[in-house]
Amino acid sequence: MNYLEFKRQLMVDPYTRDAAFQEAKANDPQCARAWREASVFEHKLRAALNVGVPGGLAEQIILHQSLKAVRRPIWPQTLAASFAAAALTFGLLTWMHQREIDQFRTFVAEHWHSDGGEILGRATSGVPIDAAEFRAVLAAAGLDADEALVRQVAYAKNCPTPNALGVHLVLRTSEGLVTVFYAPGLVNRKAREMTVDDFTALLVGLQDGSIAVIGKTRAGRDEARAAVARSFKPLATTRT
Amino acid sequence: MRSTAERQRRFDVLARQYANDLYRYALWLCGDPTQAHDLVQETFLRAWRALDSLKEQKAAKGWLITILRREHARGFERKNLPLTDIEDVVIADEGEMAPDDQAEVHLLRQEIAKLPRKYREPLLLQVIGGYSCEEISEQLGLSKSAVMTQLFRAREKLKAVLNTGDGTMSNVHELP
Repeated sequence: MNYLEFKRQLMVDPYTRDAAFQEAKANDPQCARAWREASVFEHKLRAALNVGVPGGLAEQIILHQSLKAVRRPIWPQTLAASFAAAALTFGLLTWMHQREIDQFRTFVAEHWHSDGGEILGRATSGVPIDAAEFRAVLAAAGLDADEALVRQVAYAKNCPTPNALGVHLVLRTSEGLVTVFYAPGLVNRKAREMTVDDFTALLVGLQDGSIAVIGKTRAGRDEARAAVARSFKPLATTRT
Repeated sequence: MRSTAERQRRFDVLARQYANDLYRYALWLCGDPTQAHDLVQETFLRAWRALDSLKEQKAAKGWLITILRREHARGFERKNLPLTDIEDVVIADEGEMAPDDQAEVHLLRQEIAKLPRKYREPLLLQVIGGYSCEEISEQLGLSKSAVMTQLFRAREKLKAVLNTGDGTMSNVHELP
């Protein structure tokens, strides 16, 4: 490295570890002199750039960070709280729904044991039911029905259910007689089955309540369920 | 995934090791102590959030300077203050310097503050950051030759304001 190159290097990067630069500094008196002059300038330059720093800066930064780190997770916490609230609400609704289903199952079992067999016996005897009487029973539970269902009814009466006055029906199907309990206001979103004595009860939700269809065969239960679901209407709708 | 305690330890080390240099860099960049303080705090806050992306400890200083420069560009640049009153904010230890040298250091500060940013910043990176021309060119996104030219011009301008007489200097200090 010649003197001019050395001088240029001093102006560009006097801190370089370049071997040629170091050799020139060590062996060339002219370069060595230029180096000493540059050192004085660089010392002053470093002193000039070495501005004062507020005391305890690092500690302030660490403190600031720790405070922010505590405060920062507000939105994740909010999100977590929202999820927790949603989960709680979902859990509560599920529990309430399950409670209603349990209520309905209890009602079905108790009511069947109360007079299910007896009513089925009366219906079997073939005593006809008047259409007007049937509609009055339905109306007491806020319902009306199609003519087709009226023709299928072997027996009808009102009965108490967990929420309101309900209906106890016996319908004629191709599979024989099938009992139907209607409980207004009870929500049963998913069809379920339960056993009562020698029968199987199919629990199904309707628009404003639930029905339990109790019969010996699946075909009979399905036929009765379809007839009721097709025929039941809210009373106010049919009157207007 | 690092534990929170380990992460905090890493962060504390970075803050203690580099806060002062970053503050000096920030002050020369924006010219206002309050802004510089905020800039450094914001830089470290961002560093904390992105700490897991810092793989090598030896790259930490460059990484922090990059964050600081971006932060400065993002928000602080708009409210940049002139550096003409730099002497008011500079309180550095000059106790070992001769009075004449101190006067020259003050003069240098005035001139550094007046330097266009394109000359000042490479000089800051070299003298405060300790970076080579290659590293500065990477940091600033410039060619190495452009960085060398800017460093040359910066020193040329600063040397011009100092009366060095016949070139014989006292208080010679060896470069590291």
